[in-house]
Amino acid sequence: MSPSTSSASSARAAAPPERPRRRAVGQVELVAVAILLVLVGGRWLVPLLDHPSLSTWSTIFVAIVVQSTPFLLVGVLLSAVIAALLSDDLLKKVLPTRPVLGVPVAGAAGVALPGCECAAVPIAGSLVRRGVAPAVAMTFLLAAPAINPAVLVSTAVAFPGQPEMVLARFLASLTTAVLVGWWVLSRGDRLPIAQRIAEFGEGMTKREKFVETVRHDFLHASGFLVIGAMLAAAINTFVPRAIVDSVAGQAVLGVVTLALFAFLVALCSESDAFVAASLTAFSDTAKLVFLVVGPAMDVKLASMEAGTFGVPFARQFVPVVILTAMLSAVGVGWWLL
Amino acid sequence: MAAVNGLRRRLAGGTLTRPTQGLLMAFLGAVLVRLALSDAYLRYVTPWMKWPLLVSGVVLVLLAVGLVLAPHDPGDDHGDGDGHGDGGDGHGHGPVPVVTWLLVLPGLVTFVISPPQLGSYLAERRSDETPVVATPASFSDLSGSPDEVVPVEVTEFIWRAQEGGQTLEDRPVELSGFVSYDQDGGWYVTRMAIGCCAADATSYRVEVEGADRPERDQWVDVTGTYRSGTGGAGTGAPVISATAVEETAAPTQTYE
Repeated sequence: MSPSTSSASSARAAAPPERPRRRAVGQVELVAVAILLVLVGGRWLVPLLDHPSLSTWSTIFVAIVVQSTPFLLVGVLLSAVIAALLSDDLLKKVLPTRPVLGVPVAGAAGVALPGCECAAVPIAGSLVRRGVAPAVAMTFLLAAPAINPAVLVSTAVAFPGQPEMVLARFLASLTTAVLVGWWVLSRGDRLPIAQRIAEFGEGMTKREKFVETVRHDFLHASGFLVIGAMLAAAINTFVPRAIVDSVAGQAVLGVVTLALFAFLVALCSESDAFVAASLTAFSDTAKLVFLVVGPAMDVKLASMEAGTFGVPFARQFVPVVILTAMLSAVGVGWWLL
Repeated sequence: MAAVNGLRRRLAGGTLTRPTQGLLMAFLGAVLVRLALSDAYLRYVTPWMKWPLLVSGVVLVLLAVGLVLAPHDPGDDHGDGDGHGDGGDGHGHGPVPVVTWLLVLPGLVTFVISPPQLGSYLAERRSDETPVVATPASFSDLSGSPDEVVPVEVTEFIWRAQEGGQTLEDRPVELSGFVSYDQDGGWYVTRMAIGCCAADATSYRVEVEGADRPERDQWVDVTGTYRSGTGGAGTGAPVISATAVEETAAPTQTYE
């Protein structure tokens, strides 16, 4: 970044506004031309790209993006409401003053947001920016996609005659969210959480704040969502399930494999129970690990969290979440299943 | 490598200008609207997503228009040029990450590759799984006269077979789905089912015997009867003895 910035500023000193302006127009035109080329030239390119593996990858890739975007948008709009419309007084009243107690409350509050995990990331980001303790926001981020009614109902449908699976999933996911919340609390300031738009320019109206938050949060999360979708689609297309099944017999390896599998395939939490149910070769505990790790952390989420809270934060947060989710799922599974 | 670094520097240095940001958002929005208005969205997600997709697409386009038209932040580009957009302008706005460029990709893939519905490629790769079929929400009526051919969904057929198969005995049924193969020269009438989106697709297949195999991914209506004792719980695909195989066009909604 620095070389181009310095050259741009020296150019500006020599010939004031013209050069940067021309470059800016060039960028827009480039993108516009590229989009036009794709629209016009598409039909001649199609036969070249007609390999079944590529088209399967692209179907799954587009599917993940198309499925996630509305949820992401809802999350971004809610986060803009939190940023621009909620008054400080109201926030103070709603939120518990002591984060130690706020963490379990936030976990329980996760029941109320029946959404995809993509929606939770910008909401958590916005909560942190409004001064909510990061521990509380992270607990909400982990709990919301994992234990809402839609997820529990779909789990019950996918595992007919096994209501203990629903209970085990609920308990293990809630435990994960609360434990990670307390971990974030104990790390305190040592956890480097990036707060990208900590302060808005003074004197912005509520409307400007709202639009700015939507723009900022959407652009910060969506690119990372696309990366996550690319990876998850590749895993879905190219890794044969037989490789996953080959370790099903071993207890420990089975658990670790399904945790990794859940992280890589990045399914949405409303439908992962059906995939778990089809992994018949694995023990129920390993299936529970799949169901608990998936909504808490996957490639798509890790990527979006790196975009929203910064890479240094994600580097610590992601492994801790996966490990906690695995351990609490194994614990609950050993007790209930 | 040098070219890649140069490109990266250019992308990072000239962070997205606001019009570019708007253009990217509008493009994604337009893709969503287009998918929702044609039936193409059914290749990727479930039917109830139509309206959420349409609304999101419209919202994205409106946001993009607002972004381009709205007056910029105070001091955002007074004299220091649009070229910097948000890049380090010192007003508390982080630069838009370079990966935001990837927003072009979904639209690019949609228009260039025009990804088809999932077919035999994935179904064959996932053929080792023994899918568990949940109790169907509605049943076909198999109580009528045994001469009458009843259309049955592939998933329901498998469910009945896993329940023991008695309800299918001596009943001519019609299954419709696409063709997938196995390594031993057998072929299957196949359907994919999705829960949320195509990423969680499961394949359901019924082996067809007594008929020549059509091309992969050809949609067919297979008329025949269930072969007793096949496809019990945990034993693989059930078998249908075909009396007729008719090639058809793919339905609008290919997933069950």
